[in-house]
Amino acid sequence: MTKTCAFAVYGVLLAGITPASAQTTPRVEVTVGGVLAGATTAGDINATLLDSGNNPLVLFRTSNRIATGSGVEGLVSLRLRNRWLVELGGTWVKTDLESRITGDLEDVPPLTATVGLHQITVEASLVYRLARRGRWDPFTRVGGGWLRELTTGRALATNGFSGNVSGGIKYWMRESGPGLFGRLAIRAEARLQVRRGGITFGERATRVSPTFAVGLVIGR
Amino acid sequence: MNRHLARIVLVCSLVLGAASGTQAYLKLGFLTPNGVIGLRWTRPVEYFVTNRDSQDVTASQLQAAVGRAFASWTSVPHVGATHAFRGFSSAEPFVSDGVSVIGFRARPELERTLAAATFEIDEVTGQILESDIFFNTAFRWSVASAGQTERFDLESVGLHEVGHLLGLGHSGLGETELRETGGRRVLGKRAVMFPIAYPAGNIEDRTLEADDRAAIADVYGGSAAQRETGTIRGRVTLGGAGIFGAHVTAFNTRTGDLIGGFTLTTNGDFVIASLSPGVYVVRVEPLDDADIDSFFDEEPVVTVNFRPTYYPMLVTVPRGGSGPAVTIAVSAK
Repeated sequence: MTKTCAFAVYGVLLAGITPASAQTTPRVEVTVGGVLAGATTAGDINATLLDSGNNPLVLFRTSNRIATGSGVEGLVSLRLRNRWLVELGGTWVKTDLESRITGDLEDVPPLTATVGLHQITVEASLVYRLARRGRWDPFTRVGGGWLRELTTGRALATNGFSGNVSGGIKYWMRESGPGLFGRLAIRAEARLQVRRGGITFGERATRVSPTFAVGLVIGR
Repeated sequence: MNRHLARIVLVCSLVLGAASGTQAYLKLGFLTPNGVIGLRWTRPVEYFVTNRDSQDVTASQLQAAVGRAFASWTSVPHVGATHAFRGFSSAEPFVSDGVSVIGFRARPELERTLAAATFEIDEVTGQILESDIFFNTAFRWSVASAGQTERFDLESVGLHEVGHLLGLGHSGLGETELRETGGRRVLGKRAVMFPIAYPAGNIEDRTLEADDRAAIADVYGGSAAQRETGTIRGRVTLGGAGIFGAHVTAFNTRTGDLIGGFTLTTNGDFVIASLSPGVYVVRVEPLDDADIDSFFDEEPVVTVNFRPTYYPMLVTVPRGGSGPAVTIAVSAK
């Protein structure tokens, strides 16, 4: 109880807007929302023959990328200390692998070949809460975990590593009401998502993409 | 069961520019009313080497080069074929005598043929009973480790011929151009089993390429290879009808490997096996600038009147299976 009061005083000093009792950090937060994953370059690789001098003769070139995708995510956050939380989260994103084919030796017109891709991640992250500004609750996050990528129809499934470095903010719409939605916030976050392994092109095994997430937070 | 033996004088020769490129490996086989029967050894390959030195190479050097060639093929992962050198012999290659003999022969009338292989097979099972290889002494040969100007590398040509001996046909994974003096010159290739050799002095064909490894694994890989690799299946159509003899190439977007196959039915069906799991670009092209006899020697007629075409989707190959079948519609030239 003493500890809770100390938090409250601290909060008032920093923000000076919301009542002290309303700025206590929930012990548990559950977030559900949507994810927009930006496109990422996956590398270039050429189909080549070798001439008698061991030099490449290009049959065609490919430039590969993973297109912008969207999906959903769920997060469970547990408070460790005042400013520190640990989060366990899962995301599912639907996107496309794209391969732009150019430079055909027999002058086939360029085209882009695609296949659907599902990206599933399960990550554990450490969250650090920055100073609050009234109902605005900014934070930074770093974490990593397991990546699974499946092409459409689950014809191909591979595993890899997924990591994130991000910054975001929650806006607490309600912080002291009764019932399940007594503590309710909107969460917005910008991430740098790093993926290693999974379905790869050429020698580029690591991919980095900007990712944006918006969710509804229920605190307890 | 009575064996029906057949002596096949092959198109399986490595030449100085008599054919041109497609993009595929091809297993040797023959059509029966019940389908295609592939050729393969079902017992260890026991072979003899002729005991005569040639102008450039001793019998021992020939035996060593052939031994390295066998080792290259049989060391491909999952390949179950084995081989054993049984000694030097005075027997001639290309003689039907029940033993497999590898050696030099003077065949000056075959002015573009560096070497060739023949088979004796069981026509019911496709089992290879005997296979001989000859190297044409009309050409100069070398076993120098770095190659030798104006001489053909015995190990490189031997690797190609031993591929035939094991049951592989020609790969089309190469591009050529016509020479003013006749025949064709290799612009580039990516398979030891391409039917046209690099110029004299070159030793690049001492190393198997992905197309070669896929081919031998397809014949001798057994269930282990099937578990670890995958397959692309599909059909090539022109005006809605299947076409025979179209070359289909699968390009692995991670490794850069090129591996191919042909449509081998009049329905236009193809299968490319022994592919590493991954994402592939699939391209189909006609055998329009090739000596078709280097690949097919019987009906049906190979269709060549269509434009090279990419399958508009990337194709995924799972481990131990195949993705959805693809249909590639091509248009007439």
